Amino acid sequence: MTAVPPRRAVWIVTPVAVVMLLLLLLFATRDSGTGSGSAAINKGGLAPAIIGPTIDGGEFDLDDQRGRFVVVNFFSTTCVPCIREHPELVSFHEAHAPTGFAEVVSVAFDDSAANVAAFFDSNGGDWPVLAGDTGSTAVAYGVPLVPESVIVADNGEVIDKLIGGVTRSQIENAIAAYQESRA
Amino acid sequence: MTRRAGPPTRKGAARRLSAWLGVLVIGGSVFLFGAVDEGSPRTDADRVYSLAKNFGCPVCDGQSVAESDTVVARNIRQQIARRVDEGRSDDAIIAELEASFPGNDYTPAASGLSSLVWILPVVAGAGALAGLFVVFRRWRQEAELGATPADERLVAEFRRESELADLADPDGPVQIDEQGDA
Repeated sequence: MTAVPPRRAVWIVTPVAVVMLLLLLLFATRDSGTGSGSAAINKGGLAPAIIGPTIDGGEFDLDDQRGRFVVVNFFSTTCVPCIREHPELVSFHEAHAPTGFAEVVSVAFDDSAANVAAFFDSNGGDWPVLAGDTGSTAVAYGVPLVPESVIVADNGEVIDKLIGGVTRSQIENAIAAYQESRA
Repeated sequence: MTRRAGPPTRKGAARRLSAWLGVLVIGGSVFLFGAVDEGSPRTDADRVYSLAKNFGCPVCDGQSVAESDTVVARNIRQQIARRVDEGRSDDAIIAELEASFPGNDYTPAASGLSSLVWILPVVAGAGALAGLFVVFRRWRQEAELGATPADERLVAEFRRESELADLADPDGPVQIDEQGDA
């Protein structure tokens, strides 16, 4: 094997090194393609539409809820944090739905209507529940995992997106903070 | 194989130039065709798969939506299929998905630093072609080196000596080829 003269080696190595550095810079500064799982909908933006049949045979349209706050809860009957947060949602609903101040709507995430109905029968909760073909709603709200809850203001604006299980006080605090900022 | 030595002629240079021009024209045409041609018409299923392949699963490690079987990946695939059925463009579909799940579009941007992903291969290809051109040219120049006057003197001297040797040798003349080998 013949040795490469040092000067020629410099001419070969330099461009390769420059290209490698540029690629390194590119990969170092580019966002990772995975694991974002972050909120897709922006606070202050209009909440994506939710229209569809509920498990009790009714129809739900988020636009019909204008004038009251809405907690859009994405859940699954097999998800442990969803089961844990459910009593908190029941408590919130019982406190605020009768006065017309707020409503809860649950959107099942990859769950059958029968499972969801059985879940509500045994765990309580008397609010609209959408199950079945809810994939497009989950995509529109940027929900990769459950539970996630989006709090929608009385004017249709997104107040907050809470990732993971929620508590009644968390929801009430978010609404209170929004009302304060609007006052 | 023997190569005829001698200085490069004008005709040879023109032939070489036309050969290079031919290579350039063919290469340029192929590149242009590849850049402009959209191939055979794609089916909706092809489009759905292609879009899913270029969008990362938001909860997976390095898997695209096409590869993953998580609920969110299935939801996104179904959403892509719905949008394709509705006749939306690829760009519009990706923009919608990016709005929902930011940072998962695998397609590098054509501007900014990410554009290097597109530019660097072209630059590397052009550099490789230029390198080949230089190397081939050098080889050709080495192969076409003509005999120097000193070389010609040496050969003439050798021939003269051979002829003298032939005259002195009663067995007969010895054939000498172009390289001077007896």
